[in-house]
Parts: sequence; structure tokens; C-alpha cells
Amino acid sequence: MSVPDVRVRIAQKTSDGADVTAISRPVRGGTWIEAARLQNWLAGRGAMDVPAHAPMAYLDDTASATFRYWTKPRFQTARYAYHLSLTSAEDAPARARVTIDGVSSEVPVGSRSQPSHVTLFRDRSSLSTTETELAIEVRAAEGLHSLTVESISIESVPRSRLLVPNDLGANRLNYLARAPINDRSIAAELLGRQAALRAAARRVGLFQFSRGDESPWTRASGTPANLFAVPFSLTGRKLFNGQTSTSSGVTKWRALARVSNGTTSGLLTLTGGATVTVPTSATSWTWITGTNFSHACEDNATADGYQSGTPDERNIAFSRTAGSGTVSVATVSFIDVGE
Amino acid sequence: MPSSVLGHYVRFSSAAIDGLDFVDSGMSQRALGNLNHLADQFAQVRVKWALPLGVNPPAIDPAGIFVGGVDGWQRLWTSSAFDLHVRSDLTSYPCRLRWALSSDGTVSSPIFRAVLAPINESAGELFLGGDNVAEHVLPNAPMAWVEHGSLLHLDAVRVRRATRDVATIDSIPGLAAAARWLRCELSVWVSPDSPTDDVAELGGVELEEYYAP
Repeated sequence: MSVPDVRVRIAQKTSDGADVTAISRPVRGGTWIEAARLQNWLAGRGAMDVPAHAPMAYLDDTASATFRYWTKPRFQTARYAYHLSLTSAEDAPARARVTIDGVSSEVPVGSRSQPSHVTLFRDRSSLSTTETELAIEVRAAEGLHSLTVESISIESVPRSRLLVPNDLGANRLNYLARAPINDRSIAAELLGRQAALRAAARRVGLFQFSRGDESPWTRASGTPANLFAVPFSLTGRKLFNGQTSTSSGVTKWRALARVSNGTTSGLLTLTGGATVTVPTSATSWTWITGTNFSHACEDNATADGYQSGTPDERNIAFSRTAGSGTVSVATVSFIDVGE
Repeated sequence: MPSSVLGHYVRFSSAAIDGLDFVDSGMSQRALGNLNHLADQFAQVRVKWALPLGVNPPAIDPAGIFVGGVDGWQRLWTSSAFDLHVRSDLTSYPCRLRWALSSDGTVSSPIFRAVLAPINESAGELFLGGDNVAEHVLPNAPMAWVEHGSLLHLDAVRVRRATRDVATIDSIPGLAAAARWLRCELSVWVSPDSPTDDVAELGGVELEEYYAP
């Protein structure tokens, strides 16, 4: 079951406007072949687990920082591509060392005017949708100053073929034009897999921002302060008739946080009221799950896809709630876990 | 308008599927519509960031360091690489763009451009002004999001230029196989009309695929 490179068009209407599936019209075998191929495109194409973002972390002379992200992989994800753009103001060609899953590589460093794109591939240990962490360590070479982590993105690499049932592929050879159309194949491979396909064809990463563990947000005050200078937006999938917002819990969020001692705690509050509570026990970097919330989904009848032309903007207020120490946040992750 | 007839997904109960001894036309329409709708909504978030509070933004500033550029255009930020979904007409999925910008030009207004391009081709694309380039002139204004009014996309020629083979695996452990994807980047540039007076800053970028047939 090969995966097409390009979205496959399945016609629901003929050129004269008649619906090919309307009562009294035959459903052509070709329509089902296209449907099978589109299903394979949906199941097998890659997805963006970590959208490109700008950590703007600065590293000097052998200093290192680890950028950690939380994701729920699509089952079909077998290989991840980690993309980086590192820059330096130094004139001489520079290098940095990047470590992913314990494997270290030396990579080139560009400049802001001439960025150098780096991609490193890592295979997963198994196919699964179990939520997991993706991490990249960046270390400046000895003597290299002002290394800037300009951008990081992580995406799942497209598959060429779908092999196992949970891959959700459909064998197009089962839909060659014939009369009658093979209902058993349609029911088993297409209709019977649509709910699972709906969960699989996710956006995955909605917003992921890591500053690295060397330059996190820190707070030593009970007065809330926003994490971001301007709010970010969240737009979910519009799936069902009349839906204007995501169901509660379909978008999960987490923070990678810690406190400086066992008597200090903190709180992150997302616009709208959902929270992440950083407990006194989190004295090392810990992923903490936020409470459920919902946000706007796409309005697919409008020119820009926003509900009423306005994106759903959020910020995160950050404060210390107990103790006299410091609360730190290295990453916030918002992911679509499917419905 | 969405590409499915109904514009939304229709749930099937497994009992209804298992009990079928033939697939009627209504079921067919919903099955095909669901696939089209899921493909519309499979649009991915390609770029998204907002500036952390208290961090210096990518900027040009007469008091700061000019980062170098081409013909008076300064490159503020370039994303790492990403893929784009390709439509059946061989153009890319359209993308909506928001960018957070500020300037305090006292004499003139800096011009910002965002360029969606095949990787390492932004500098050339900057001047072509196609459907992959957004422009915004910003007179004296504090940091705020600006919605670009139209969707950016790569045409078929640019999609072809951005297409690369990538080694993938189809099982774990698995043998290497070839797949194809696009290698794209989004860059943001600014032209300070009067470099001694303008300060121009970038405080965030959002680039999201949105299927608008």
C-alpha cells in the first residue's frame, strides 16, 4: 500500500455538477480507488510534531542547553527529522555539537544573513501513539561565542508504504472497477477504519516553545507575569457539524518546570483559566500536565479559517505560589491528541 | 469552501458497518466526504512562536548591529526546514500568516516582507513578489500581531523546486526506502527606509496550512 506524495482528488461531483454518490447513480470503481489512495495519503504523510519556533537561546564556549518537547506521535511515525538553524555573529566558520537520543553530531553554524539548515534523523524504537518526549542538546564549540539557537522544528518523516493494520492503509487493488463493487473491502478497509483515521490525521503539534534548560523563564514572585510578550493563537481541527471549538481535553498542554527547593511551588495559568501546578516536589525538571480546556477550531467556510475572523489568542501567566525560592519553566507544549 | 460536500465529518457506528450487506449511496457519499474533510483538516502548523517576555527580539536598530542582507533588506529571522502538503493540482496547501511587528521609525516606515520559499531560496524570492511573499509597511507602532490578508502558497514550479527525496523506513527496524517531501523555509526581512531613524522588531510568526479550495 504505497503512500502518494500528493493529495489525491476524489470527485464527489461530476463535471456537470451531479453527485457521483447520489441515489440512482452508480458509484464508479475509480472513485473507490481514489478513496483508497487518499486514505493512504492521510495515513502515511508526515506531520509536524514541533512547529518551527525561535528559542533565541544564547550559548558561549562549550556551554550546552537541552530543548525538550512533549508529543503524541502518530502511530505511523517510524522516523523523526530534527531540524535546526544555529547562528553566530563570528566571521570564521563555526561548528556546534548536537546530541539526540545519545548520538552526537558536529553541525555547521551559519549567520543570520546566511542561515545553515541542519537535519538529523532518528528512528523510533517502536510504532505507537504513546505520548513521549523529544529532546535535542546543543553545545557550543570551544571558543565559539554568541551561538544562537535560531530555530528548531521536528517532524515525522513520510512513509513510503503502509504495512500493518494499525497503519490504516487501504489496498487500492481491492477497488479495481468491477460490478458489483466489493462491499466487503469497502466496509473493512475504508468505512471500518474511518474513526481511527480521524484520530490519526491530527495536527499533532499546535504550539511548542522551549527556551532550553539553560535559559528558562524564572519567577520568584507571587505576582503573575506573562511568559510571552505577545499572545500565541490556537486553532484546532473542525470535525463535526456546527463545531466551533475543540472538545475539552483534545488539546493537551504540559509544562517542563522545576522549583529551586522543596518548599517552593508555582502556578501557570492559561488565558481562560486552565492551569499547570508546579509542586514543591518538582526539584528537577518535570513534565506537568495542565488541566483540560477547549479553544476555537477552524471555521472552514471563511477566507482565513478563523471563527468570526479572529484567532483564539492565549498567554500564560506565571507566578510563585509558596516558598522563597525560584520557579523555572523551560518548555510549554500544546498537542492535538485526536478525537 | 471545504472540499467535502457536507463540510464536516460524519460518524459511523461500527454496528451499521458490520451489518451492511451492501454499501448504499448515502453511506458512500459520507465515506468519501469524510476522507475529503479529514484531508482538508490534516493541515499542519508549520511555524509558530511568540517572543518570550523580557527577551530581545530579532531587530534592526541604528544603535545595534546590522545583520547583513541584500540590497538594503535585512534578514530578521529564518525558520528551520519544514514540509508542506501538496494539493492535487500540484500547488502547496495555502498557509495563513500572522506576524508580530513593531517599529518606531520617526522619519519613515520600515517595510517588512515574509517569504515562504524552497529552502535556501528566500533571498531570491524576496524580490519576485509572488503568492509566496507577504509585505507590510509599519509606521510607528508598538509590538502587535498583523494578520496578512491573503493566504501564501507555493505554486507548482516552486513545489517542484522544493521537492526532495528523503530516506524513510516503513517498519521498525526497517530497511531504508525513498519518500518525497518538500524542504521549505519561512524568512522575515525588513527594509529600513531610513536606517538612522528606524527600529524594526519581529516578535513572533505563525504560519499554518489552511485548505481553502
